[in-house]
Amino acid sequence: MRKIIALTTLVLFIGCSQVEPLKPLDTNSLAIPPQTMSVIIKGYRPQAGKVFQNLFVSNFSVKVAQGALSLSTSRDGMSDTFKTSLTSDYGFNINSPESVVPGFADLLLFNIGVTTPAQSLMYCGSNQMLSSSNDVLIYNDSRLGGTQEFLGLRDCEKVYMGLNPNLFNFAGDGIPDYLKLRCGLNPLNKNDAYLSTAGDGIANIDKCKRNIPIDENGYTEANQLFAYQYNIQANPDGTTDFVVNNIPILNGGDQNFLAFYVTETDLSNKPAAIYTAFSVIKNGYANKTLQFDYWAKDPSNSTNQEILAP
Amino acid sequence: MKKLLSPLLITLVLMGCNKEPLTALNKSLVGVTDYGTVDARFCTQAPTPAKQNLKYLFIIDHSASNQPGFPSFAGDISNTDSQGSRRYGPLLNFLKNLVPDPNNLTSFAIIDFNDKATQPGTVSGFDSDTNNFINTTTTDWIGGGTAAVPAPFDAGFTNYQAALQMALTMIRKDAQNESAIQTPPIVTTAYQIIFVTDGVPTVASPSGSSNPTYTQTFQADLQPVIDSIMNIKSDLTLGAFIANITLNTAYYFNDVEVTSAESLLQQMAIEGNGQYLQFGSGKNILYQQFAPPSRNIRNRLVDAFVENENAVWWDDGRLMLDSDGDGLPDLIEQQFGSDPYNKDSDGNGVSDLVEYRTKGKPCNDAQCAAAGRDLYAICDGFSPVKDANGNVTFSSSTNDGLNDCEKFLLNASRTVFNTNGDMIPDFLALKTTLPVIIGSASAALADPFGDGITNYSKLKLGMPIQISNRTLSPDFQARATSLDLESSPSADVDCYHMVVENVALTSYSNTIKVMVIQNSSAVDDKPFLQVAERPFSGGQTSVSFLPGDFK
Repeated sequence: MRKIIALTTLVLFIGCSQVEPLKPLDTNSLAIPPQTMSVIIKGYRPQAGKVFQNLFVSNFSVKVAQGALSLSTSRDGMSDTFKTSLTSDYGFNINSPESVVPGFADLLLFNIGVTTPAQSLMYCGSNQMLSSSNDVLIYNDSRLGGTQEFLGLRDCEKVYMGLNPNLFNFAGDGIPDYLKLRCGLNPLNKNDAYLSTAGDGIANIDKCKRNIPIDENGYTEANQLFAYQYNIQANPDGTTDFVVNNIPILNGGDQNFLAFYVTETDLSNKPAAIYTAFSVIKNGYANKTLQFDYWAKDPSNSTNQEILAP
Repeated sequence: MKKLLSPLLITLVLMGCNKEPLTALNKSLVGVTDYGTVDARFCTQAPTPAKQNLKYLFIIDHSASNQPGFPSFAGDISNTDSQGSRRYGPLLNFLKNLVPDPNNLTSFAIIDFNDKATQPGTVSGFDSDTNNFINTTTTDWIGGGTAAVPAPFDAGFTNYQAALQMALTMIRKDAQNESAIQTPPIVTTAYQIIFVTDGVPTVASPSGSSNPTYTQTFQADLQPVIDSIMNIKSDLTLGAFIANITLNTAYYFNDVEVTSAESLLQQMAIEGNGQYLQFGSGKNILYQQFAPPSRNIRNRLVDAFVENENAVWWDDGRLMLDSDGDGLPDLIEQQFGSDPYNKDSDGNGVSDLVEYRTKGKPCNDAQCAAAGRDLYAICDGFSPVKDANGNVTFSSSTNDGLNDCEKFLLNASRTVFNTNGDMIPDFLALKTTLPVIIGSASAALADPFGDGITNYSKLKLGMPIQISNRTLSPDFQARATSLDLESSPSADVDCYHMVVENVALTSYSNTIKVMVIQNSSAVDDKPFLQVAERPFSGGQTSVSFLPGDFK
């Protein structure tokens, strides 16, 4: 066999022509380009004594898996079809991120395997319902008659998971705990953010930022089409504009929920501050740009800020 | 012969065609004779119920403020629980309604405290017999139905510190017992402390003090004890037997909340990684709100490594044949006089590579004779086994390829496959010159040559870590990995198809090892390794693995 290969090589060399071998058929090669939008965050400047660490922009209404986009009505990191498939074991409903146990996210219940019989033992004390670490988004969902919804990890959830409720990034690896859970990383693990689980050379943190799955090849046509593009523009006044292009949207953007997280470290490179904002956009955002001023210029009013989409 | 022939052939060919760059020659210098494809299908492990011992420790307030007519603060006329029905009634309900425990994984203990702390009942420490513990609790409450005056006998001060101190002693003693009786696989224990009280920790002052009473403070009196309790988990020996320790606090009152008690108990719960709950207006204490629910451990793919066991990138940047797969190439073994076809040439239980790396030569004896070998007396504790020929072997507690003695010599953990947490299995790290010891995880992500490729990426790309990419032959083909999610049998299991192309092969044997690393998705952080091995048999250009191959 090896001799045959050698012979073939020989023939190729003699002919002085190199034939590019046919690439194997890619299962995702028929991906349809999604509708996308852009976001421009103007005038970012780190707080005094802190250093910019990471920006995460994510359309929580869209879940990418196996080369396709699917809608997540609950915006909690699980697509509607996936959540529906879990209903018999977990009792989930697609409309709410905490559809079965008050104070415990469906996403967490699934990840820790607490099925319906054990759910009655899950209890979040009233003093632990909020987030001491400010890495959460709380909003009134107009689709459900204005019920208050919570995207993030409450103190009781962090305590249950063995995390510290006072820290937004327990592992200190640059990804807030809640986003680690959403991206399929373990919030307790210090090293999984910089691995390349799919072996394609793209670090997991970079896939998490670009909203493509960490456990699938990032170079398939579909994932290339779906990956967010982050750019930074420096302004003459020393501030920075963040430009994020190619954010896939569904339903033309109607009720798509964009989440924004900026993290900063202190001078010893430890996670020091998190600033959060969100925007519920409307139909008609395909190929449009949502532009707004950096929301955390006033540090006392810098988390859970709603950006109104025009 | 083959080695001579192929450069010759290529040279001849190249002479006839001057368009082709000359770099093809380097291929033979690298030592790669061919490339193959590894095609592997594997699934994550199905969720397993989290099996662990659960030990409840109830700490119950017996101070005088439970009694009628004892004001817990100025102006208070009500008592909090004169009959014990808020404390003991729901506790008995909780115990009687627990889910059946056929494997006897749940046990209980109770501490009463006022001026001092005591453990009622006949069992010292934790009681695994639920019925017996129900009797203990009933007797503690109503004296077994025989006492003229129903207990609890509530009197005296509220010494939190003494109660916590007793909890510390009990848990430490219990963990010591577990460590003495358990054999692997270890079943860890979750200690769930539920601390129930109706007021602030006021105690009698030491004699000579001007003030008759003293109120214990969080920082001075309680935090150090709580920290000691939590730190049992960090104990080098006991920590392996403990899943977690939580201190939960419950505050019960009638009409008026004492905010200082509230905030103190909150602080205690935060320090103890537990929950604080309050039960006002005469409400019963609901113990089930502190009970941890049963859960399943869901696993996720973390990483996958592919390694040709018969190929070693040596320090000079050449890929060398390693017939016995010990990580030390044949050529180097020949120079040292060790046997290239035997992982452990001198039969002392420590492989040639580990001896080479720890003392610079694969054997003590120049001819690798058994008579002159180092028997590593330091490893006698790891139960060496001697076969009929006098060769020693050590058992392995992990499946990464290093035995317990080798791990000890390398200062690596004997219980985890990946000591420093970088997810690279220890033997693979040793073979590819990466560090294994605790605290060295960042070395995997370092780029010592500034060639833009980290050590970790080089490992995944199948490139040598010891040299810069710039000095590697441009003809060398790096691996290309593609991972795709496939349809899975259930939502809790993820199945993958991984194809790694351009796996460098040597001229003779090539056994491929695929290492799949998974971790629980939340709550636990205990990555584990599954391994599959398969040889490239003659002439094959690819080797395939199926889910059943991974052990």
